[in-house]
Amino acid sequence: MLDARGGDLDEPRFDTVFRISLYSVRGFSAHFPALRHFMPNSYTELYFPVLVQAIIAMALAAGLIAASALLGKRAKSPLKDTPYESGMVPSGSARERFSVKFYLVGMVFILFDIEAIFLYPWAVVYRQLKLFGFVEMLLFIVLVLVGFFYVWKKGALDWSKPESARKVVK
Amino acid sequence: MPLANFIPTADDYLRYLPEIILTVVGVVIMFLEAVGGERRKPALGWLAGAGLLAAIWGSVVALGVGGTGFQNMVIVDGFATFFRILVLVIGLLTIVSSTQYLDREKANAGEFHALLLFSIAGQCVMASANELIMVFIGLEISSIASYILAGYLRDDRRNNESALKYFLLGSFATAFLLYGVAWVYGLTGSTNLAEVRRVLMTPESAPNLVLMGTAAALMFVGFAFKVSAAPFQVWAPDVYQGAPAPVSAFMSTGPKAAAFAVFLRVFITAFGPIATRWEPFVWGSAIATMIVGNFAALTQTNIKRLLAYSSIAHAGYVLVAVTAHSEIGTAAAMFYLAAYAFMQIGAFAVVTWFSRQGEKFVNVDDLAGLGERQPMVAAMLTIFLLSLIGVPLTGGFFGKFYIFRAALDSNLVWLTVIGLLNSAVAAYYYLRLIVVMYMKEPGAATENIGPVSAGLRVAILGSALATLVLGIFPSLVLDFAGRSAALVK
Repeated sequence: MLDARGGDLDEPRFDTVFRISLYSVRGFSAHFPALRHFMPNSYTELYFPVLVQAIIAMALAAGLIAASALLGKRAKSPLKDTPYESGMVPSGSARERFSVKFYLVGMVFILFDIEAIFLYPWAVVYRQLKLFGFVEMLLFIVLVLVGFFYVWKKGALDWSKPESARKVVK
Repeated sequence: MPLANFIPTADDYLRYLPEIILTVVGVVIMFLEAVGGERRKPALGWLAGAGLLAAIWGSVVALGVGGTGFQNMVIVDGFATFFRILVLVIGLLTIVSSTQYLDREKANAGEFHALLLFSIAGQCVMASANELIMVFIGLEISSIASYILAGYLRDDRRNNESALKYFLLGSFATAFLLYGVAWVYGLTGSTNLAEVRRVLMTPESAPNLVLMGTAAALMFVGFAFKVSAAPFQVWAPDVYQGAPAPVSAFMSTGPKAAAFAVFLRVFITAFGPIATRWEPFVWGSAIATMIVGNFAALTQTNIKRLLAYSSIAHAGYVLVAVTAHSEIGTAAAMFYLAAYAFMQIGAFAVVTWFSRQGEKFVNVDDLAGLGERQPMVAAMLTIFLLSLIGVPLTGGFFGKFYIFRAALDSNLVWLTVIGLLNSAVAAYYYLRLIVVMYMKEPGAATENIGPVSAGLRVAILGSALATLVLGIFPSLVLDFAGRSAALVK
């Protein structure tokens, strides 16, 4: 059975399921009056368990920190105050100035990385979308390629370009 | 829902013709910018102009197959077409008024035009959005391009400040909007505007009104920021002052018109049933916006800053029309945004020409003697300023007239009174510019001033002509606005 927008009515839609929760809970307690005391009938009651869970979570975290502070042994040494580098001995300060090239390359990488991720959902539904999906994805890739070409031609990927050639903000 | 239902029809593509044209031309410009040499730069401006003209044609074609498209995500009606054509015309005026500026500041022209087209494409998406997700996508496309445009002269300190402020505050406001969208979806189970309205109208499924009001308030924050309405207007003066003059002209008209388009559509279509909840807030915001804008403009000495505060005040007048929440109110807002766009762009075009390289001359006192030395330009600027005041025979007069009539029709007597008092206050600072131009001794700033370039001449004369036409034959635009003001419910 199809609804006005062509959706399949037999298949419950996510939003319907989502919205129906509170009403179905109300309807359920109407049929079983004895259960009414246990069934939530307002948003406050419906979300009460969430509140309880939040309190337990916070209490647990605070309790563990407090327990380790009260019960744990403390041995202070300068080595303990150094940054953790997965076991390596840290060398030099982390507050250095990095070349702006890292920023540029990092940004370009993230952009293309995220655009490549769009290919995965397309691959999953490729059979259902048939030629349409193929053409749309082709257009998408062409757009990404133009962007890549632009970045390339503008010299953003040129690592050897001397820093002094760039203009500095006055 | 089977996936095959998502495959669009040929009509769907026709309904989206303007956006498609703008995107394709924008990408081609970016490509040519990377390939072509310095010689070909001027051609890119022409290409962008041709793309905008083609997109105007595309909007008309799209209206021919009007209706909803792409699974109800997009709606092409008179309202959408009005705003599409408005932002496209704003784009054309921006391009002609920026050619000389970009040459003068030795700024790379290719990216400028590509970004402008992308920004306008985003505004067209907003104008035809029928779905909160589309509203958000359009807003982002439009905003991200304008963040870059605001800092287009990247060696200039003020440009950088402008872009950074616009970006930080703008992303923050967009986050509010998106959070509001999430609330609306959680409460009504849909992001489709008509569907949200239907859920709100059905008593048994209507969500908690306090929560729904919160959702509307969150979305209001996002929209109020984009139209620079109080209390979210603080960014506007700094951003408009720092950005390149043609970009300020664009930012204070195009994105603002598109933001008002979605504001009207979302609040009247989707949130119409809970109007009694949001009307008081918009009422308050309208008053605050008018007062803050006008009174702050009184003491400004920088013309760009003055125009920025005046732009805030004008957003306040349009909010009056939104508060009216009626079909004539919507039509009045549409007419006002069109009239305002021409006078604002015209005034900024004069500033673009007058300020000269590095925007050296942007003080009110610099205008002294312009009436004597450049009578023609001074006369044009006078037309724009008189229209901004709302003097009869200019577009600004009928804009204000229709807005306050719509407000009175909706029994908003106090709002009308405060609005009219504000217009009187506004007359002072606009007239001050005219007084300086005509009655002060000519100063150093008006000496040796070069001629107005052909592009700027087109922009200034075109805006002045449009301002006068809207003031003498308002029905040309108002009839169309009135017919398209009935939003889908």
